[in-house]
Amino acid sequence: MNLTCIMCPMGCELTATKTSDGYKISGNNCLRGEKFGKEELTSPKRIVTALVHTDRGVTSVKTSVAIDKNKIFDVMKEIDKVHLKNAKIGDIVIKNVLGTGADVVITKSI
Amino acid sequence: MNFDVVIIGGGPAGMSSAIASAQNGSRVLLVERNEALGGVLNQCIHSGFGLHYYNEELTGPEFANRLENELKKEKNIEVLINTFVTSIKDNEVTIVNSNGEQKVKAKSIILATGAREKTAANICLTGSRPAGVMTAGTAQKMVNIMGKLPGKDIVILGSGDIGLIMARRLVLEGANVKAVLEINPVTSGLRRNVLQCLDDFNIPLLLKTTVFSVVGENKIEGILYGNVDENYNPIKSTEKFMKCDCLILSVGLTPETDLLPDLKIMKATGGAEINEYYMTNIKNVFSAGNVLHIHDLVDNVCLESALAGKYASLSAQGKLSFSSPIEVASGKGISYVVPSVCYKNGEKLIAKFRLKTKITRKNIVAKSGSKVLAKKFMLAGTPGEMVTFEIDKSSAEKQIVVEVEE
Amino acid sequence: MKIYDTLIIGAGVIGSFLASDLARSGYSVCLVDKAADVSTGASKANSGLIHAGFDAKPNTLKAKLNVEGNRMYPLIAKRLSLPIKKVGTLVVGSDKKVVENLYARGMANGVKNLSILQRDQIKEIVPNINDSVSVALHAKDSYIISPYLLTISLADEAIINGADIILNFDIKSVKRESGIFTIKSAEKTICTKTIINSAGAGVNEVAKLIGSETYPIVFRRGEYFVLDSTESGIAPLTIFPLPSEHSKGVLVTPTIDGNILVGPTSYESDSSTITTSVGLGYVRENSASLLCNINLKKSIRQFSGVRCVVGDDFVIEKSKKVDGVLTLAGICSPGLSAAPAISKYAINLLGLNYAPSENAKKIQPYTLFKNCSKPEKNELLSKNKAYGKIICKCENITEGDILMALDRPLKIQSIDGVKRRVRAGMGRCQGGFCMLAVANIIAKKRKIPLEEVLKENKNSNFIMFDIRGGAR
Repeated sequence: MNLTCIMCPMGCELTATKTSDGYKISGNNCLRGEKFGKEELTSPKRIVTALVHTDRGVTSVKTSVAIDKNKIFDVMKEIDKVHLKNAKIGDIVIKNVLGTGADVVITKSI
Repeated sequence: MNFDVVIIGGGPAGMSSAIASAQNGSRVLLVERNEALGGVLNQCIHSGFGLHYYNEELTGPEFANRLENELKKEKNIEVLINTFVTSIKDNEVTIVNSNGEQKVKAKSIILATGAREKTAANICLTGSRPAGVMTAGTAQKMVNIMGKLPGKDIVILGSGDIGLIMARRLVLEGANVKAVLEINPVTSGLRRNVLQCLDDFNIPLLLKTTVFSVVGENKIEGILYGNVDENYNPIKSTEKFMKCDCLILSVGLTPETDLLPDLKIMKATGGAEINEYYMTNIKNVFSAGNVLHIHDLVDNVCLESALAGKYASLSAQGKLSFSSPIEVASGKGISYVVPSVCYKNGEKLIAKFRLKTKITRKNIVAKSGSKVLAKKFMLAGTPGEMVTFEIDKSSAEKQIVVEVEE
Repeated sequence: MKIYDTLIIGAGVIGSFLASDLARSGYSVCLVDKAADVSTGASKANSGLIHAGFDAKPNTLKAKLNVEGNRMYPLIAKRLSLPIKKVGTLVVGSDKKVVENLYARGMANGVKNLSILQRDQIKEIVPNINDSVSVALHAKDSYIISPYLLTISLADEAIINGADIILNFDIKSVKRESGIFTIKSAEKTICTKTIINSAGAGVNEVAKLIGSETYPIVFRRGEYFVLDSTESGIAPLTIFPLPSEHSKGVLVTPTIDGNILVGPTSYESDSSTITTSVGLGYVRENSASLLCNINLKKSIRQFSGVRCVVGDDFVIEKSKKVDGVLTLAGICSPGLSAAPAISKYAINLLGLNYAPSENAKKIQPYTLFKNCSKPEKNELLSKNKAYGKIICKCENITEGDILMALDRPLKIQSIDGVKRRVRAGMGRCQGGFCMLAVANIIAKKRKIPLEEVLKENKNSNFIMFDIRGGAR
C-alpha cells in the first residue's frame, strides 16, 4: 500500500506491507515517517489548529499533539466554546481535550 | 538617520537577515509595514513550520515568535513597525509613518519584501467581477486574523498550498468547500497538503479543470467551469455550472520587487538576479526570501536570509571580494539556479535550484566545462520543492552549469 | 413635502453634470440612482478620453456637443481641482485617403490643431509605433481624465450647492397629478415638477414607468485591459487605428492615473459588463497592430463597459407623451467628451435656464497624501496621524486618504466607492493586500459590522459570517 508522509514538507512516498504484527514501512527518510505510516493505517492522527475568541479578538491555538482524525470536528466544537480575556503564547486553554491526551495551546499572544 | 544595514520587511526573511547582520557587527534598521513582525507567518496558523530550522513542528505564529525572541536579544537592531518604505535611491531609503516622511541612509539595503498573490486579472479570469472573489491569502487573513468567513459554499481555483490549507481551514469552520480546480494535470501544492487538507475531508480535486467564467452581478452566484485541453484551452462541451458564494484563487505568488524598478529580474523566478553574496544588480542592494524566489519552506527562507544578512553586513564593512566572477547557469532539467554569479573566494557555493519535472533516482551535477564540481543523488524530486546544492567552486572556470544527469 | 424643480434619474456623468449645473443655476434638484454610488455604469467603464471631435459626422449632436464639451473641460477641471492632461491623439494607419477624410471631417466639425503626419513625424512622437503605420491624423486638443472621479466630483459639487442625491433608489412607480410627479421607491417618495431621464442602460425601463417614449437601444460591449504603471512609457498619447463603421477601434492610451488602457471591443451584447475570452482575445490581436511593445502580461485588470447606442446620434428630447419629461438616450461615445455641453443643451431644452453662478461653492480637491509637498504632508499629519499609515501599498494610499474619501459630501460605504475616489485597491495587487484593511476602516467610520461592508451595490457583501457559529 502506498502513502504520502505528512510529517514534514518532504512528503516521502511510503510503502506499507502487512506483517504478522502490523505493518512494515519503507520509503521513509526518518523515524517519524515510519511512525506516521504505521499510525496512518491503524489510527490516523492529525494536529488541529484553530482560533479562540478573546476580549481583544481572535487568536490561534493548536493541539499539543496529533489527535485521532475522527475526533477533529468534536475538538473544533470544544475550541469554539472558549472565550478568554487575553491570551499568551503557550497558555493551555483546554487540558486533555475530550480525553485525546492533547492540550489546546495558544500559539499567538494577543 | 544612518545605519549600516537597512532591511525592508519584517517577515521571516527580514528578521533572519537582521539577526545575521547584527551578529556580523552591523547597526541594523528593520522596517515593517504592519503593526507586528512576522509577515505572512502570523496568518499561517497551521503547523508544519520549523522542522528543519528548529527541529520542532511549529505553527506560523510560533515560528514568528521564536524569530522575534532571537531578534530581541540583539542590541544593534532597531525595529520600526507601522512604517512604509516608499522609495529607495542611492543608499537612501524614504520611509513614511506617523512621524511623517523621513530619509534613512544605509550602507547596505536588504529587500525582504516577500511576495504578493497573483490576482484574477493575472490569470485573465473572465465573466463578471462580483463580490466574493478573492485570493487565498486574503481569505486566510479574513479567517485567521479577523475571525470572519467569506462564504458557505466555496470553490477554490488553483491547488497552491495556501489554497489547500484554506480549504481545510474553511471546512473546519463549517463551510462547504465544493471543489478545488487545477488547470494543470498535477497539483501545484505539496502532496502532503492534498492528503491532509483535501483527502481527509473528501474535497474533490478536479485536475485539468478551470473556471471558464464567473457568474453573478453584485455577488458571485457560481462559476461556469470545465476541462481544458493540453494547450490549456477550455473544452466548451465540458462546461458545467457550480453554485457558490465565494471563489478563492490560489494561483501562485509573484515576488514583490516593485520598490526597485531598476532591479534586473530573473525571468524564471520573477525575483532579482543576484550574485553569491545575495547582492542584486543595484550596488549595495541585497535580496532574500520570497522576494528573491518563491520558497517552499520558511526554514529555507531563514537559512538563506541569514546569509544575505551576513553578506550585507560584510559589504557595509567593505569586506567582500568580487574578483574572478563565475557565471552560474541552469542546464538540462533545471528550471533555475540562484545565484547567477559567484566568485573565487575560497568559500563553498550554496546554490538553490528547482527541477523542471518530477524525477526519481537521478544525480544532479554541477559542471564547469567537462569538470564535475559536485554531485548530489536525489531519490525523488518534484518542481514544487526547492533544492539546496553545495558546490566546491575552487577549480571552476568561467561558468558553472547545474543539470540533471542522464 | 418638498417639490423639486427637477428630478434627475441616473447618476452617471450626464446626470451628475445636470445635477451640478442645475444646482449651481439655482434650481432645486434631486439626483437618484439605483446603485450605491454615482458613476457605476458606463461612466466608470470607458476610455477616459475627452476627444477632440474629428470623429463624429458633421452636423450631428455628437459632433457639435463633442467639440463644445471639449472646449469646456479645462475650466471644469480647474473648478473641480480635477487632474486633466492634454495628451493629444494619433489616428494611425496606412491608408492616406482615410486619414485625409478624417482630417476634412474634423475641419468641418470645427476642430482646431489638426495635422496629418508622415511616418518619420509619427516615430518622433511614438518611437515604438508598429512598422505597418505610415500616416496619421494628429489632434492636439484631446485630454485624458478620470471619468469616475469627474462624476464623483460633480456629485459632491451638486450636494454642496444644495442638490439632494439619493442612492439605492430603485423606482417602483411614477405618477403625475396636476403637473407634479410623485416618484416612489420601496422606501422613499420624491415629488418634482420635471424629470430628466438619464438612466443610461436603464433608460427604457424608467421611460416605461414614466409613460414617456422608449428607444431602440443596442448595447455594445467594450472590453479593456488595464496595464501596470510600469508600462506607462509605451504610449505618450492616445493612439487609435483608423475607425470602422461601429467603433473607433482598439486604442492604446495613457490614463490620468499613470496606467495604460488597451481596448475596447465593440460588439453587440446584452447589458451585462462581463469580460470574455473572445473579447479579450480580439483586443490582444488588434492592439498589436498599433505598437510593437504592448505587453498584456502586464495587465493588472480587465473590465468591460456597455455603451447604449440609439441610431447614429445622441437622443436628447422632450417627451411628446408626458409634459415636463426630458430623455437622454444613446449617450455612447463621445458621451464623456460631450457631457458638459449635453447638460447645457438639455437644461435649455427643458425650458430651464442654464446659468451656473460664479459664486457657487467649490469642492475640496481629492488631494492624496503622496502628492503633497513635504510641508503639506507634515500639516496633514499634525491634524491626523492616519496619514502616516499606508493602507494600499501599490498606490501608496494612506488611511488618512481613505478617511477623507469617506468624509466627502456624497457618503458612500463601499470598497469600490473608496477605490474610485482615492485609488486604494486600483494597483497591481488589486486590493489583495488592502481590501480587508479598507473594509475595517469603513466599518469603523460608519459604525457598522464588517459583514455589512459592501464591495459595491446591495448584496455585494464579501465578509459573510463570524467564525463563531459562522457557517456551521
